[in-house]
Amino acid sequence: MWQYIFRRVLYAIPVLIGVNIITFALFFMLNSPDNIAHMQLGSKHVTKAEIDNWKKTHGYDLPLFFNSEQHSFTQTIFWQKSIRLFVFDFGVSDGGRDIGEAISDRYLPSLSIAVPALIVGLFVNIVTAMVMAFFRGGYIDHWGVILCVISMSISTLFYIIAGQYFVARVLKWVPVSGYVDGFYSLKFIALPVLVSVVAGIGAGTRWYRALFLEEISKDYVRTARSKGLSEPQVLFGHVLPNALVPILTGVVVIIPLLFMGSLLLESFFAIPGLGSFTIDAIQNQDFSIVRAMVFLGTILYIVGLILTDISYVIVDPRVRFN
Amino acid sequence: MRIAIIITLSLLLLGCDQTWNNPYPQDPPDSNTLYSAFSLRPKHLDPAKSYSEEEYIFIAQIYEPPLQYNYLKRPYELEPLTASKMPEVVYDPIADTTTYTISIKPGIYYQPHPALALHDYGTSLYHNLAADQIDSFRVLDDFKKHGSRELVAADYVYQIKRLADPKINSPIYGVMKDYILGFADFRAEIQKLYDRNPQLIGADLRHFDILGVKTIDKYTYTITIRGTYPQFKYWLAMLFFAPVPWEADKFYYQQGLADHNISLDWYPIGTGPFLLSENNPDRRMVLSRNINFRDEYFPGKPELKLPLLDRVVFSLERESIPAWDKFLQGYFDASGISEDNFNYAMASGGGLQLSQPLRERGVKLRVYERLSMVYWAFNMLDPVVGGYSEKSSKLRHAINLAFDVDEFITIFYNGRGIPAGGPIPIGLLGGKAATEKTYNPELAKKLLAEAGYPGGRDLNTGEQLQIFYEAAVSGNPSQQAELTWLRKQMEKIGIDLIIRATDYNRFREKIQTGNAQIFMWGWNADYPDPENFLFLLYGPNSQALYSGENTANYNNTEYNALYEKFIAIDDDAEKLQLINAMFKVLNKDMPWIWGFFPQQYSLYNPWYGFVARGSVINNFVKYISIDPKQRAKLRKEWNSPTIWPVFLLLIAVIVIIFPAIYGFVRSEKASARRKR
Repeated sequence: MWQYIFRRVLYAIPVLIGVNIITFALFFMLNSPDNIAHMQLGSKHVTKAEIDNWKKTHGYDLPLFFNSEQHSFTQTIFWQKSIRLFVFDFGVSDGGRDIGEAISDRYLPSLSIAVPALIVGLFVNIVTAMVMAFFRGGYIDHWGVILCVISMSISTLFYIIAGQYFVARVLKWVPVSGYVDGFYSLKFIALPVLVSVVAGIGAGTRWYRALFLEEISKDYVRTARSKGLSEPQVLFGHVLPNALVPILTGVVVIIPLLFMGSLLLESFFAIPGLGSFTIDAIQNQDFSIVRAMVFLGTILYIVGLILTDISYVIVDPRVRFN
Repeated sequence: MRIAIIITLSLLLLGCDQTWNNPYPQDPPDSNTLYSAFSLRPKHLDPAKSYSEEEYIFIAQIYEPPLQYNYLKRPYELEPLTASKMPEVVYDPIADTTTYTISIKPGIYYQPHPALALHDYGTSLYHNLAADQIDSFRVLDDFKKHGSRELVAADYVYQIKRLADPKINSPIYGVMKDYILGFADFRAEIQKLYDRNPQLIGADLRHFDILGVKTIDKYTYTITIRGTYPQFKYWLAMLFFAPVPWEADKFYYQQGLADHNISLDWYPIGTGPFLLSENNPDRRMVLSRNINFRDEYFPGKPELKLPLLDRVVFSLERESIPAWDKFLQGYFDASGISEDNFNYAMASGGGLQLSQPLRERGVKLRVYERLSMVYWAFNMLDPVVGGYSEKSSKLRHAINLAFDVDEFITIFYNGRGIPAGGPIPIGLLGGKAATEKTYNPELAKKLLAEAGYPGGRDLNTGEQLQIFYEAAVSGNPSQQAELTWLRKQMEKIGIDLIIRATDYNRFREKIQTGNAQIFMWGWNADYPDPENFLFLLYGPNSQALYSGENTANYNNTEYNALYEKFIAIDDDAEKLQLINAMFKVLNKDMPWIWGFFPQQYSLYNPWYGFVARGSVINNFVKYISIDPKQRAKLRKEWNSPTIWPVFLLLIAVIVIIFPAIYGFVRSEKASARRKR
């Protein structure tokens, strides 16, 4: 297993380099170093000399990919801004703040929403899908699928605004938005978690229902029934454990990405997580933060894929690392 | 069972405060605290760098320049803040320089701060920290000892030096180098120091001098500028000229502190009524009363000692909908009115009346004119819409007459603006609103024909006149409607307005390089003087040619001469004559379509005290008062939770689950029967 993990980590290096190059190229296709300087200095009274001075101070006065004057790849913005990422030195933002500190401050609020939303959502989706699978072909299943499709068609933004309006403004059960640490955080995360779960029910339930129905049609289920087991025994004792294999592997891949937070939820509920950090950076054209967050996201995605492969081997004895 | 008990207890505990939806569970309900919101993270809190409203709301309560604007008087009037009197201004005709002598009040002290903490034997406690010590400090509060000292004139001088420091990169360096004597030379000297020592975090500016900035004695300093620039006094009311003690730089420049975001850009140090007690721009910023603040009183009310609040809590609220909801629940004390909420907030039928629900709540509306201007500029360098010939002037006049600015304000700004009659906002000398409606498509067609485009077609080629409109689009649907409206305005006189929509960066580049024909632009005043608007049309300020703020690249020698005369005098009657003369030139050339002066509509909950907001008065928070008892009572009244839907929800769940249970039982029984 360790050999396999080592190999996958080695594969990750060119992926990370590639992602870095693409991020860099896309960012600078849309934003010149002058634009970045303008964002920091503002738009009033700023002269060309000030722009040049800012670029010099922040290392944006170098060529982008190749320094033809010095015949060097290292004396470039790309090299100077990217190479330290590979030792997890995220450096400072273009506004002058330490990015590593910001990430360590923000990942917990992101997780405080993402983890409960994942667990509760998983439970609700599995239960609903099981009920629909149990009554397959009946009116509960029929109307369940219709409701799922309707629910999937509605934008997450609608759930957020409707949730804030009814739960927080009309019923006044929880605060509209905000975040505090400690015990009181419960009342701040309740609504975003609820919204996240409700918004995900349609897609999640439909997918899990499809997995359960696929399992139900298999021979071992027929065998279980022929042994005289009741339908609940068949569903919970046989179908559920087998259907959990794709569910769990699907979940494992997204676990590391939970750190990255949710862009929309965090923005509307004023959760100081990494999702809103990324959105702010994009809006402020802060390249240093954008490249750090893309780099982190890539690593977490790769970790997720490796964990998925490992979980396959653990839950399905037919799969081997080699 | 145990879990159920824990959950029940938790819910009870969470509901222990009066209301479930209270976003400030840890604050006492009747504290003398103002609750407000901010939507954008401040980028800079260093007074040498900061130059935006979003940042001034915090630091203007902390830092104190020598002058301020009187809170109550309009037109705006400068008065001493930390200065003991207004600056003495002396013009030297031989050297052609003007010297401002500023004396500050003795007995003003800085807020408690670790940079000013001293050992018992008098040396600085935290100025020479070892690397391992620095590692243990993660936030400023980790420094347990704080100190203070008296404000001296040298602190003002030190801050002016910081404005020229190339590493600090102040946005006003470009403006000040043209005025303050020796400013550019000072920067060059500091730059040399940095070039010699590339690892240097920041220079000790005490060891260098600016020719035109001098400390005379403990409480007096002078600033000498080239020529005359009467508007310089307004800069002395801006935060760029607030004092910074040298100890702050000495403290923050220690290697490693910046890695923990411990810098002057993050933790201010001032003499003002408040200090930043909590700095978390991702959640909230909290200002608390500065215990070292001197005795200052509300204008005309010696019984009201400033500041009137103990604390101000600014919560980050990126979206307008939740911010509005919190205002209605009483959790924000004041609010603006976003486009989405305008119809809910204001009574239908126009006018300045609040809607019935808000009136019943006792919400107060205040409208104030911002010192800003929104206009449409013609690029005067463009061969079609630009130039100074009679033909091109008629074309611009025709376009101007085809723009129904009133309608534009009504549709896209909910009527929150006053059509402009010139480039100077009302409230300033020479400022005027449009006296009559300029919209006249028939006259526009006539002028268009005289300009060589009868019916919007070129007299020579017969082709329809195409004009390109540059716009920075953000994907907002109302912006699309705005662009469609503009196109239709031009269609009425036969001009094909082609919209060139790009992102803001491209848009700005086009304006900077002069590759545009017509575009919308705006300006917020730095100070309440007509010069701050008239300079936007001064030729040597051309954006395309000289990186100035004249986006229309307008360059009329007559106007330029009048402007140069205008900035050198300080007499209002004479100034007004010159303004009228400049208006005449502008009205003939028409480099802008006079747009409008935006108005700010602000709502205040009933417990909010007297407000006299003004767009250049940034240090207004010290004058705000609230009635915390009334707020606590009304909040409780407005926010009692509605419980009955819980039972409705339970019934709904039962209704949904029951058929499932029934179906399950039936299927189980059916299976048993078959088995038999």
